[in-house]
Amino acid sequence: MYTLLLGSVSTIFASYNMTQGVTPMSHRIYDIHMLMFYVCVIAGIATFGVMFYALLKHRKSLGVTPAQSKGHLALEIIWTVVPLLILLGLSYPAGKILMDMDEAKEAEVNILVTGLQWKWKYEYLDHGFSFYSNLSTPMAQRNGLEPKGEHYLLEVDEPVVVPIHTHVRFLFTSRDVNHSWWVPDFAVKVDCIPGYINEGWVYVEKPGTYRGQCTELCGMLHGFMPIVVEAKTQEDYQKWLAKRMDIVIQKEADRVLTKDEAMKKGQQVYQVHCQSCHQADGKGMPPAIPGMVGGKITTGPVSGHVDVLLNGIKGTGMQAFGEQLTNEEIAAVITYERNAWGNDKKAGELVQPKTIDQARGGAALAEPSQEVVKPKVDTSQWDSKTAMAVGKSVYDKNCQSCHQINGEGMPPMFPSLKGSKVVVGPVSQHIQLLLMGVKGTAMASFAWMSDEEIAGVITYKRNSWGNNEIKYGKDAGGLITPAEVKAMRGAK
Amino acid sequence: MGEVVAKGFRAKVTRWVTTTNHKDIGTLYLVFALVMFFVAGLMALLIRAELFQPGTMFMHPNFYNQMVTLHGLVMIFGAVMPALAGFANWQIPLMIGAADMAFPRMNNWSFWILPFAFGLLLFSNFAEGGWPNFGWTFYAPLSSTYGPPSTDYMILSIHLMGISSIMASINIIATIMTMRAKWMEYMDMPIFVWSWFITAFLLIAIMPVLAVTVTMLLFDRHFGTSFFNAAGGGDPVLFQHLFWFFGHPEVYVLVMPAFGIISEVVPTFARKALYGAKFMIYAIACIAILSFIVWVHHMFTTGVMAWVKIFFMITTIVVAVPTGIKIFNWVGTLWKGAISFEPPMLFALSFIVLFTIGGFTGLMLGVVVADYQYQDTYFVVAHFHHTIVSGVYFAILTGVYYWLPKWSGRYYSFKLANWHFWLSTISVNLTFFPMYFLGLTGMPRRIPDYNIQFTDLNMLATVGAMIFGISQLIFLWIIIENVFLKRGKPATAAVWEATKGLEWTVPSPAPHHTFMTEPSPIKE
Repeated sequence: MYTLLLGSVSTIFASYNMTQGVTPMSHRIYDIHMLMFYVCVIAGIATFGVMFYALLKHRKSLGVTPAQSKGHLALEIIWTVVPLLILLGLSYPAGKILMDMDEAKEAEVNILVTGLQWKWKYEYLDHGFSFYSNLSTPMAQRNGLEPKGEHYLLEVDEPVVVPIHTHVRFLFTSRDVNHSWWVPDFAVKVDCIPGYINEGWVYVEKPGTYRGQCTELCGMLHGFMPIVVEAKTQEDYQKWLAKRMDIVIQKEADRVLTKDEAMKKGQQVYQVHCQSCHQADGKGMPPAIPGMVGGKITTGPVSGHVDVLLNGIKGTGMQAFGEQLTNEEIAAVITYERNAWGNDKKAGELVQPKTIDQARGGAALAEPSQEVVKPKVDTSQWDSKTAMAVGKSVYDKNCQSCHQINGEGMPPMFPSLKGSKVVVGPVSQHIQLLLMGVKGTAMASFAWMSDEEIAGVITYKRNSWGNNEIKYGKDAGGLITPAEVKAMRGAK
Repeated sequence: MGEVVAKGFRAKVTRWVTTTNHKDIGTLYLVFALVMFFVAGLMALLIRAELFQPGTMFMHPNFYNQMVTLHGLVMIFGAVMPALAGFANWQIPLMIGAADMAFPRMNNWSFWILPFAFGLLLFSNFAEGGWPNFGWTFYAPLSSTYGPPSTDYMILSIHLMGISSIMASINIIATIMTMRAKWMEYMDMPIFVWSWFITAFLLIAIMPVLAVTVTMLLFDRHFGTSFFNAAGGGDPVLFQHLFWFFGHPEVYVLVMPAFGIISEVVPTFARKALYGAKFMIYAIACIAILSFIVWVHHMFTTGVMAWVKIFFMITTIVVAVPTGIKIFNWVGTLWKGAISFEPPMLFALSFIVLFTIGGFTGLMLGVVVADYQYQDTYFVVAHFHHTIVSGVYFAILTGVYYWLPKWSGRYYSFKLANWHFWLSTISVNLTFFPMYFLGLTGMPRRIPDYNIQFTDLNMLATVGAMIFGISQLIFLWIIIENVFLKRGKPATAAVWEATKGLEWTVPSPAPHHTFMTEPSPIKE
């Protein structure tokens, strides 16, 4: 009976306490949280105990005469020094966890998380695919028209998937404002800041579905960008990966939609991406969010409408959907917006994916790259051909998203590599830069890569885009060997 | 007849607008703070009403964010700071034997800027897009690139508040340094005066940083700079460094005068001298210095280096040492005293307990790795409000209940004040204790809707907040009855049984002009 009672009390307590989580780090953080809690409870009982004793026994109504003491030097010293020592003592285990957390590990899975208003983008860097993860709770539940589900506001259309018993490295950045990615069960909360790439490590011990939310106020729908992580066994993860990579996007620009198809699909897209701002009835919330009923854009020329969808409107909440949606989705949602809510009287066109494709200039940005197979290169023979092949694959995976495929970067945030001081300068500085990163910029340390990979990518950069000895002098160009990288690692 | 009334009314307005009397200006500050407290409090109640249940109750998410922003800005800059400035104006000259503040005209100006500053902020709703909607911390780029037009009104408003605060601080420092009775050494000054003396220096140091930050924001918004814009080579994290370099000392600006008030009240009702008075002064100075080197603890998740985090963790938790000294000495003052429980004492005791709880949770928040789980959740909301509502606001109530008979010349109804105390103390905990557990179980702050697992605790918090809000009307009535309806028993000069200090040597109500000639020291 007693144990039962104790058991249920501790269950109730646990259900209102911080989660112990499912990673080694989350357990340690839970422990330090409880340690701090108990220290505070003991200090509280001691202080308030004395205080309430005085309040009960030393009251005027009991006829006491007040003491004349004005202070006591020894006491002052004791209650300064003792708490100081306790606090410094407590900072040791906390600091230890922090240093362990900060230690770079061998990452087996790398996922780039990009926060944007108001959804998450997950990019599997080792496999070259990415997807967006949107809130999937229906509007009807939010408005109270339907009963709320168990995972109300904590469910998404496509969760991010990680394998268990694996060191997963998450990289965090943002495309617009600050966001923060928090999954309590992993004890990972990292800010996503534009221009920064932050890092967080996860080693999940138990398969399951773990949920979290954005924790940095990021605008109107801050409360509506949940995170769902599915942790799968290695085997299931591999299956998921294979399936995910098999999704072949057909050359959709050639598809011709019927009006019904376009309207149906358009409505779906609208509900996921547009409705939260522009409302189900298309009336928006003027003046911040313009209405679409008889709107200038939705009933104006089609080309203008397509432009707004593809490129967004700078300085407003209207973001660019060009990268997020396929041609077919954009065509459908435009068709929907031009036909719904009585707009068919003024506009009413059926827009085809081809129109969108043309507006993009024929280059279908949203089509994921088909070449995701990692080239297997034999690195035992280190020659310039091998180095360049390894280098290109590493570059495409790790550097290109910032420094661009043509090496021109996006100055000033991401510098161009064409004729850059480092890339055509002494080799040692170049290796150093990759190993150490550049503090305070988005340039991370790549020390976690193998010597071969670093040698390869440096060789690749120094011999591409017109970077060579002839043009930039004897420091430039060259074939860099893994041995040189190894030597530099020792040197630092 | 009508003409006479009009003339009287106009004379009254002119008197209050042009007054240079420290007592008048103190009253203006306090009344202004009271109005702003109810404005911002109403916003808090709207927020709590929306959060009563999951689902969209009646508030649009954007309006919710606007309420969150204005509640913070108005409470901190419009209610708490002016209230404390009101105490400074009323009490400092009375406590140091000065006839008035050092710069009476500047004093007038530093008050009269405030209604315009808050007018700008509150009426910015008429700009396209409505009120600012990015939280009182107005992080860039949400406030720069993405901020609504009303952000510019907010920037100007903050500039005005800053000018007002700096002028008030200069005035306080000059008054304390030059206008003390000649026999009063620095270490003889009452502890409330000491607390404001240090606070004023703190304000002068931090307000310009805030002014710079909002100016940079303005330039980013309109003049093509990219201080906080990554795409232009700027740095969004720089904004946070600048903001919190101001923001952290700012919370001590709120809390240190509160410490001063409590340190005046506890000895009076324990009928004992303040225990370790010297150490209490050292502790305030120590907190003030430490407050400048803890700001990164607001930014542990932004990706700062591990060693930097460890430094700021240690400085942060070390703040608990001087704060502990204060609490232990208050307990030491109570020990073997002859304690009685008049309304100001009740609020002061409640302050000591609840502020300490807020302090404990601050200690927990300071531990970096644990902070990863607490940061930006309701745990922080609970911690902050325990220190500011049941801390600073309770200290303000303590001060009002303590000095009101001196100001108005009449006692208020103790019965009503006791009701006010018990309802406030119970409901403030009903409001904020559930929030710790909401945060621990995973509810982020600043969200207008939440998962169903958080329902019970949110309902409790909302019920608590409503009771708290309504019980403050008792306070309003006590003030109206005492000050405007002029009801109540006349107060003696000493007001309370065991008061010590110069302010209790003048009659109640304190005459319009006091200490025109220097008072002589009080005999022990």
